[in-house]
Amino acid sequence: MAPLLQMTGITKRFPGVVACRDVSFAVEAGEIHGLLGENGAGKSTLVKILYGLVDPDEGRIEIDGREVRIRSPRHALALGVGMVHQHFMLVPTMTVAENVALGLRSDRPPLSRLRRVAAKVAELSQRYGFHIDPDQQVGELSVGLQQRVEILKLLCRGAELLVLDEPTAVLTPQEWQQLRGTMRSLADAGKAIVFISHKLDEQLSISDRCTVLRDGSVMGTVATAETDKASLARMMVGRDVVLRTERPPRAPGRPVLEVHGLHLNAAEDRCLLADISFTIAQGEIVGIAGVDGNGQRELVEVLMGIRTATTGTIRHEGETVTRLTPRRYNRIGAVIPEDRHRMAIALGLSVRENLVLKDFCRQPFSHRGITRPRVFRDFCASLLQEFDIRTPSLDVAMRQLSGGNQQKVVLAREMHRDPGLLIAAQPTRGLDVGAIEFVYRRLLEHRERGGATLLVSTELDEILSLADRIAVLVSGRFVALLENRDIDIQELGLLMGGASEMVAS
Amino acid sequence: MGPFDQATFSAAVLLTTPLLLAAIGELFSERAGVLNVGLEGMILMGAFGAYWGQWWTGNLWLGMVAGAAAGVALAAVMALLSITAQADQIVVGVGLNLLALGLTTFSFREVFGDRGEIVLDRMGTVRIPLLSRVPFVGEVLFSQTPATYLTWAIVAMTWFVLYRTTWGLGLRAVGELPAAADTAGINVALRRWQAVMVTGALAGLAGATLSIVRLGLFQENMSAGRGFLALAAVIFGRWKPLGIVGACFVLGGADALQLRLQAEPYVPAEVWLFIGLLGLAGAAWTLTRSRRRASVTTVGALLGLAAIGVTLRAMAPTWSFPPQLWLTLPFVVTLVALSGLAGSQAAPAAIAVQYRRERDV
Ligand SMILES: Nc1ncnc2c1ncn2[C@@H]1O[C@H](COP(=O)(O)OP(=O)(O)OP(=O)(O)O)[C@@H](O)[C@H]1O
Ligand SMILES: [Mg+2]
Repeated sequence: MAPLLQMTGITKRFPGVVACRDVSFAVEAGEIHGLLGENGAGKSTLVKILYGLVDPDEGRIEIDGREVRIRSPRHALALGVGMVHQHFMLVPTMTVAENVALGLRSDRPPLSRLRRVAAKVAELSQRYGFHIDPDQQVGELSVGLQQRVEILKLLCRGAELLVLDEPTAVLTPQEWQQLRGTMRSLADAGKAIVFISHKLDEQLSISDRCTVLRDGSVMGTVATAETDKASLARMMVGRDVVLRTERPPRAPGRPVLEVHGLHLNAAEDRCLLADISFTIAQGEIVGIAGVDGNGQRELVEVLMGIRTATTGTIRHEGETVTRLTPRRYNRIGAVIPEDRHRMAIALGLSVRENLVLKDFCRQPFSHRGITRPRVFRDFCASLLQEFDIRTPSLDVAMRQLSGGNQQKVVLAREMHRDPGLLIAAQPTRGLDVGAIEFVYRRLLEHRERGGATLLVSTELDEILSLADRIAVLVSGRFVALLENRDIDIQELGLLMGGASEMVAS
Repeated sequence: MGPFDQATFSAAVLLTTPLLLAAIGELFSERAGVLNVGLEGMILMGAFGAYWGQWWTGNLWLGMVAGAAAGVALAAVMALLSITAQADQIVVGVGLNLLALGLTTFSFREVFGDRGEIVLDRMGTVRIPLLSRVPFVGEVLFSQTPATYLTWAIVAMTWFVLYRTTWGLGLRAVGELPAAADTAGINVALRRWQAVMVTGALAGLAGATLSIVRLGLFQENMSAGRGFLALAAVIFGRWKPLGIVGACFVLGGADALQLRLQAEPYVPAEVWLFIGLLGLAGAAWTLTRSRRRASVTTVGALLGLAAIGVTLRAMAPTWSFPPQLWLTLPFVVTLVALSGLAGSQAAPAAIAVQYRRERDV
């Protein structure tokens, strides 16, 4: 019997790069098929071809043994192919039912019959244990729930093959467990799933088979049961990857950043941050652990000068800097914000312009207000090399880079100048294992040189392997501030869930 | 009652009609993410097209159709340039207003220049049985022209189409997050085209009510800024059909009032009382809406306004205003209303933003 999906000899060239090179790939019904590969390997491009968003230059696609040319998402959906994007395609001001009804054939056109759709949503939500209220506004839902709405959208359209492009990058561990359950029950119901994720643990725990891409070419397809992390990583990167990091003991020096009694209230007196106090010393990494949405973003925004704290003081090397502005913060430290599209990069500008975004107005990049393109060029070229940013040229728009390479541009801009203070929020989100290894090494080098680091992350492994001390943030408060000595992941998980235990450090 | 009598209210309803038609029309474009600044030009095209159409065919209803068609013609240019060719919506809109002014003025002189003023038959009022016999309300609301009743029907249909049909759902999604609509299989460009066409037709009808329904005449630049008032009414009405109805009645009311006041020798005392009551109502509204955060200065200013109004009512001074100044009243109301709504979040998120699949997905 022919497989549900067979792609043969797919090639796609973009100016300056070959995103997919003679890719062949098959998915069976009822199978969860993992797609792995470095940043820029061509995973997103491959699935966009499958969903009619990108036109391949060469190759054939067969669905149920019949050759098809997929021209648009609408056509893909009609063929039973559905996709959940890296950035959700949901209208935040509309309800769940409205979002699901969008583009759906109504049973009595032209009426939209939202009540009918809502009932269908409720039924599917019940069947797969989604806990979704069809009448809620999508903008009010958590990321994990929004993702389920995306999946519901596809199910309501009768999708037989679901494509999930990095669905777990923004999920908490609990949400990942739930998504895992969902994927399993969908596969058991006979649906096929293509699952893109950089996290090898996730691939190993859910996929039936994995296909690995490197530089646009298929390196091989393996049955997950017969492989392990190290060999998958080797297939992806082409060399052995150090998956564990060593953090040599180091006595912290003078305090660099002192935060005392920070409070932040939103409008209507809702409290976003309450009584936050901590110190980061030279050569120290302080980790902030917590489930997404518990005040991490607000804390970073206060420290980088985008928001002003309601009360509390911030001191930098002994000097009070409570009323920071982004410009002043820029002089004392660097920051990798969590939401790179909103706060770290300009998608329409070139890679070069994004790389110099924070340096262009100072010597030697410009002189008396006139920029010096040659200095830019040499500087950017060295950053591309050092941070292994894969881009056809410095002049392409940032938007054309793959997700992971966009993140690397931010890392390069912020980390190249050895800031004394570094705030890194989710620095490895969307990165492949090789790049993660590199970032960890850079963070530890920064520590070694006596830099102070605030590491905000929802990845407990990351916090546990890098941080000297760990603060757990729950509902805008620190429920614990601990030395990272003999804590294990379970304990941390419990604290994040709200079990409070204040330990002096 | 002074100037606030039944005649003024009847005039308010009459003057609201073209404004409401144009604003409801604009709602389609804006909810689809197209900021159609060319609305003024479409009204003007409609006014001329309708006049010419009625003169040519001798039938008022065919004139209305011609007016709508003229609006659609200009809207097609808007859609072609701003959606298909992806030119900047605002630049195109401004250009079309100038084009419409030139085109109508030129054509009017070409066709009618040496014929003298031709007054065509206007649309008569139709009194609705029973309802029109209700005191006051009957005279004001149910003794209007069929064009006005048609407008109300269109408003009701607009609500239904936007909120109860798949087409309307898709349209709203296109204006909020076109990438979401596209990936759900909706043709973004086509939906925007359709929305702009509807805007053109309704704006053309609005022009027709100005020329043939009300006056039986065409005058150069007779839209006189109504397109811009309608654009403001959409914002003021927070992009919702019912809100727009409210906004248009406020603006139409201001227009009727200023027409009435132009004829008065001095400012009638009732106007001062009205200002006083407005101040009081504003203060009360501010306080109930956000008791905790109501700014002292806002409430103070509104109460001060109330006090001044009541005092002047008691003194009843015989101040006169130049009539030209009264003409600005609807625009002043618009400015005040819009500044009060500054920073409101109700606008469709993708308004005035082009959509390109390769970039946005
Ligand atoms: N629209 C585009 N124009 C030009 N180049 C593009 C475009 N889209 C992708 N590319 C290039 O194609 C290559 C593959 O990109 P793709 O997004 O498929 O990578 P990916 O495997 O999804 O990576 P990541 O893990 O970082 O998301 C990259 O080099 C990228 O720069
Ligand atoms: Mg990708």
